Amino acid sequence: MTAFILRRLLGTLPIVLIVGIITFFLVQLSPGDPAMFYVSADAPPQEIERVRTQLGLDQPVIQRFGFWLGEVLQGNLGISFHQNRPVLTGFLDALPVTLWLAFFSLVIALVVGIPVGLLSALRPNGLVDKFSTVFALIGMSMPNFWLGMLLVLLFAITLGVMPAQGYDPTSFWTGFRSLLLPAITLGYSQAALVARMTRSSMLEVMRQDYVQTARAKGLRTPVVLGKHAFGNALNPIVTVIGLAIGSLAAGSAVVEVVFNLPGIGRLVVDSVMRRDYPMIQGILLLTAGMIIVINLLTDLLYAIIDPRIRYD
Amino acid sequence: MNTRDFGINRLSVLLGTLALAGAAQAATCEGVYGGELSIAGPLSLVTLDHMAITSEPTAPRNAVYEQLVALDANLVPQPALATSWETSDDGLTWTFELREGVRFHNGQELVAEDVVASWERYSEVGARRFELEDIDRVEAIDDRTVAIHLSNPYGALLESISAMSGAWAIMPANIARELGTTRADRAEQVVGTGPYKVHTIVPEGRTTLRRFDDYTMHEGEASYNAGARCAYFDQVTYTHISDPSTRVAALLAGEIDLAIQVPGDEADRLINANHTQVVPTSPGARVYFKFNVAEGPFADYPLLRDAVRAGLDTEELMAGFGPSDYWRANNTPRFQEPQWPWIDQSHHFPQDMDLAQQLVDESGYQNEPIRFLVVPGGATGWEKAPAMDQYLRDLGLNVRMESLDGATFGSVRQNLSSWEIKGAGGGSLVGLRYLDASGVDRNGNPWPNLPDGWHDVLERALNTEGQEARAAAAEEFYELHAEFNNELWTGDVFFIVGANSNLRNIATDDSTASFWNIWREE
Repeated sequence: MTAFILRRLLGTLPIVLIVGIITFFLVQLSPGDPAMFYVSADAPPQEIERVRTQLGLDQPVIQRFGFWLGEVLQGNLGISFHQNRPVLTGFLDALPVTLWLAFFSLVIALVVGIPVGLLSALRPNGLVDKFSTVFALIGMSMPNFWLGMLLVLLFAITLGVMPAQGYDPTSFWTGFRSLLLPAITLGYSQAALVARMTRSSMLEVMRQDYVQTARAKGLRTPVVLGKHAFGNALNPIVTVIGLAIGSLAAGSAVVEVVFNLPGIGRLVVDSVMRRDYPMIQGILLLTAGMIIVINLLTDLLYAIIDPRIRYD
Repeated sequence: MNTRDFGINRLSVLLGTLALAGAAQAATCEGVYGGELSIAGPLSLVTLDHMAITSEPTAPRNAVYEQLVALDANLVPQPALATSWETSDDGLTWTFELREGVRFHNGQELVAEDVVASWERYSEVGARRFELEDIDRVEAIDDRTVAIHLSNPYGALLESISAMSGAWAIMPANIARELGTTRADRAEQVVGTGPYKVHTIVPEGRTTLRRFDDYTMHEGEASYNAGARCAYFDQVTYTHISDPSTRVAALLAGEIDLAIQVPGDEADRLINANHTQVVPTSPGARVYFKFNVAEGPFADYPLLRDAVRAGLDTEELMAGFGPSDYWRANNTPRFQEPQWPWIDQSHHFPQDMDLAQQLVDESGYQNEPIRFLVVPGGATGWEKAPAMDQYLRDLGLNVRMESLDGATFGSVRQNLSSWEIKGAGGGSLVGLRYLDASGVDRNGNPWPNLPDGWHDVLERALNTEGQEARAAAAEEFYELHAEFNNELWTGDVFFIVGANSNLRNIATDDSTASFWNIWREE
């Protein structure tokens, strides 16, 4: 197992490097001049050029890449144009909000998705199954920014029981309150996905001989489901959860803007709009690294939940 | 010679509703003191460095820092940290008397050396220092007197040093020198003389200002950035909420008191709620289009530009910005404020579609493709684009609209081979320097076929002494501008402030949403 982990970790390095190279050139070669954001609208061209020089944008792109790569290999992601401080500091400031949001969303996805999927699988085409199909269809097809706006309208503006926007880190409770509506917004579509995957996986497993045997032995349905069926249906569900975490990272950008949460998603959107190259590159690199680690953890989880899988 | 009457504005023309400017606020502070004001705006705030920055929210910086002179609602420079000024006979030396007893937020008293040191820093980092390139040096004559020495006479000096963004802000000499070219991002580095002082700056988060109890009040009624400033609130917070719908939701939910730049189509939600109000603030932003007069059909067939102007229904076009309370259309897409001496009213083009069609036919246009660039949001934006796109099609032009994000738009427009007409926007306070810039493309190259005398007339308008003479020169310049017809002005969109209905005295003549004279009536 240790050798597997080391091998996978070593394998992540070239992947992160490739991600870094691709994002660097995509970002640097995209149209738009960051200098325009640091001069007045009527600034003469020589003033814009002065700012470009200050930002290091007067150098050829290949030279900028060499410098950036050298710094990254030493653990320095550069200085944000806009924030005028290390990219890593800006990233770490924003990270907790996004992590908490992803955590709460995932909890909602699992707490809602798995029971709904299980109940659907119990009686295929029954009333609960039909309800869960509609639930899943809406969850997967409704844009999450729209759901977010509806939730704000109902719970923040009409009922006045939840905050409409912002993040209050004063205490766990205030932070939780700030993130509940965004987490529901983000978690709903994932819950729908988990519900559908749980249903189909359970239906597959429940057709297996050992489940029929368990039923024939006269075991109660909860025992059959919990002890014999669900454990064996977990593999595809874990795969979906692993993918969902990646989606949560990507989907959080829209939700963080709609709910004005100072997380990684809003930071990357603002940085793209401002062409804050160092910040965009740094965030993409670090996020890619995080997703690779999450995928590794997912793979390790397979070995824990399925004894047939060994990495030795 | 006292030159306060010399200060006709470099910014020159005020479109919008500056007729309301006379409704200035009371000079004495008769409102209710105390409480906290929570503001949300579309721009993030990571620094309050007034000199180096133009892209951050303006009002918090103008509440913290002050300048030698400040613009009033008629765009006339008024005393601020300087109480009076004189020019030498050759126009090369301007001498300012400083206000007595003014203290910085750190307790130091303002002296002339602070002005000198602030200039030294501004000349290194100032975002608008290019406007002040005629300043040779700034000298402290004594503690209360400062002299600005110019290398060339510059009649618009007062207007340039009263710019409200990227400004020559006055800070303590020791801080200015310690900062040098470093950006002032930390709260302890942001020290001014304004009515509010910085308490905390949280990048991308919430910035907090607190009332400065030792503030020295300026004389005169509050008007735009000039006059009395009454800091009623104990504390003011600024939060960045980029999405306009979220700003409105936050206001409706009672989480903020004041939302800057509410879109016109969101205003009804605030009007219909019983605890919020809507305040349109002028001058707002001017809405216009630019023709590419260097390449393509609008360059090859100048009559085509006149055709586009002749048939345009600006009311219909401006309706894209929401209810008519929030914008003003110019059927004459020109400068037209009647009380302003520099107004051109001689180029009225009543809408005439038949004439427009006739001009298209006469122009020689051969159905060449016309790329129309737009960018989402604001005066530049797509709110006006669909109507324009349809209008150009109705004229029979082979138009293709391309919507780009702001940064991409900024770089694509520099390539003159990539567009024929584009949406444009900017502050409604149009300066002569801007008009000069309208004679060059984004790369700084003069447009071909500029009318003779373009730069000479402008120089006279900038540097001639005396308001009437400068107004006459400006009028002459406007004639040239209209003749060239490279910009199609269609109106102004006002900036809408959404506010809690218990807030009083929100300035209608200040689109920056200044907050120093607002109070809360419980």
